[in-house]
Amino acid sequence: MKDLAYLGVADAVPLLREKKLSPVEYTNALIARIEKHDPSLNAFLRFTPEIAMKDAQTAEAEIMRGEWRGPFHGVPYGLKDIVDYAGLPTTAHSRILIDNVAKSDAFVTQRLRAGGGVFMGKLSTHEFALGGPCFDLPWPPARNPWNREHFCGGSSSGSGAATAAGFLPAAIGTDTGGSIRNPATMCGVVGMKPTYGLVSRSGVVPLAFSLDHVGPLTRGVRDNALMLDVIAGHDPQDPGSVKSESSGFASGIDSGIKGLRIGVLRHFYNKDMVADPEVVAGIEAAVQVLEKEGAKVREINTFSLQEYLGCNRIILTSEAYAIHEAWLRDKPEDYGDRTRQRLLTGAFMKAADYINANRVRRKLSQSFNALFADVDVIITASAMDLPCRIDDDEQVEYTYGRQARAPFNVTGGPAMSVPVGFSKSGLPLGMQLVGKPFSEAVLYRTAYAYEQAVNWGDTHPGFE
Amino acid sequence: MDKPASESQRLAADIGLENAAPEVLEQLPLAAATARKHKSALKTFALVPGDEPAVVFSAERSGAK
Repeated sequence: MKDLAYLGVADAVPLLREKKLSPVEYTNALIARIEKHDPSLNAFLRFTPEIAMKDAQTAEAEIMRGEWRGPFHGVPYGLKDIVDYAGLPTTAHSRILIDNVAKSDAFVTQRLRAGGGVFMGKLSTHEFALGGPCFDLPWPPARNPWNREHFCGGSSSGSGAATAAGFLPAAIGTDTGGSIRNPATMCGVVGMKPTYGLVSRSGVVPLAFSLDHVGPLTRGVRDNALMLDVIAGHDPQDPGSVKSESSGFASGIDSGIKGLRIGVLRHFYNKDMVADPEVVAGIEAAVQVLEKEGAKVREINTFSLQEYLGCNRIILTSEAYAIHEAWLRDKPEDYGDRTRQRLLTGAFMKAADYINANRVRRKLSQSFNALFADVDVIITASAMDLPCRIDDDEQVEYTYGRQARAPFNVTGGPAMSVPVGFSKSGLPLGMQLVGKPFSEAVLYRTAYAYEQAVNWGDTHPGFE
Repeated sequence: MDKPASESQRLAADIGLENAAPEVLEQLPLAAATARKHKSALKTFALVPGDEPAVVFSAERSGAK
């Protein structure tokens, strides 16, 4: 059996089901690891070992009685602290919501609890899923397990750090301009932003209603698909929720990619922005691996990256400002400096700016989704740069906008970050796989074929 | 009043935050510049009057299942 710290969901589930692994033993091992190592990583904002043990004992009793709940039974998980868990505060890592105790579970929490998951706690986030690493908040920012002096990405920073560090096999994050995929890239794990509406946003503190997505972060591709199976589904409480049940994201995952049509969107990272050479080398090497696995690769083009980013930022800051205006007026000192700075951008957007960005959004989405007539999967960069030092304010600001993730919050289809190795300095590199709406299973199949060919998953951070 | 402060006060008035706290006032010039940068990236000249927004209102039939 693998070290329990790095046991993935797909490896753990058969062991749990066949009673070869006790949920209590599994949970205890992770609790001990978190207690020992999280003080230096700050992945958890609120660690809840007492709830975890209760969940694990319940799962163990059920499994022993033969009451199998499905592919998340007895599996530990964490929630980004903008996701409600009844009876616990949902703080959004902010002084503003420090006493905001959730009255009920978010939809995704309901799903994970009903599936028999073991809740380990609430995970660090950038303030209100926007702010960036801040040292002027009630809790410190999460750090990168590959080098704790470096930024671990965000805003689902604790979700990325906790999975990479072997604290959890799976975590929930959210993504409005790239906030699942950024920590996935920076921490060397797998992060999926599913199609808009596939996973309910109810019970999740909003950042920007029309761009917010909820999704899984895991170390392995199959693990990610299994978690998405549990959390996807229609929710009448979310007006954007898709009215159909979706599952089976892991089925056919190992059927290979022979003949799959891949489009490489290079101008995002070699012309519109110029990525770090090590980032580019990682992506190009991955494309070669996929070609060797049988994919047909060609280069494709779309509108400039800046146009997509501008569209995302106008909509994001406008919707976020609408949510935060009263707090910014009444208690601006309660925000971290960086969060307040970013939120205030929305104050300078006129109604016409917001509406025109939404008109451009329709054109960008239609044009981008039309590319899928000729390709099945698009590959591009996630981050343009390696994770910078967490205390280097200038680099944090410089790298913040140097990304190619936000376009796919605009277009709404699935996009995932997959690890593609390491820089010379030992920091993770990632690529992004993008699909047409509701093509998550194709992305997982592609990512899995790559993962099986390269096996980065057996390399773990050495922070211990 | 010095020049940077008056610029901040003018921006605050533009957005209806006349009584903003000092920490908010000092962040307004950069916020305004960032907003201008985002807007300049958007090619709205390519829009024609009939181009609808991505998010539009639609009525639901009462009692529909």
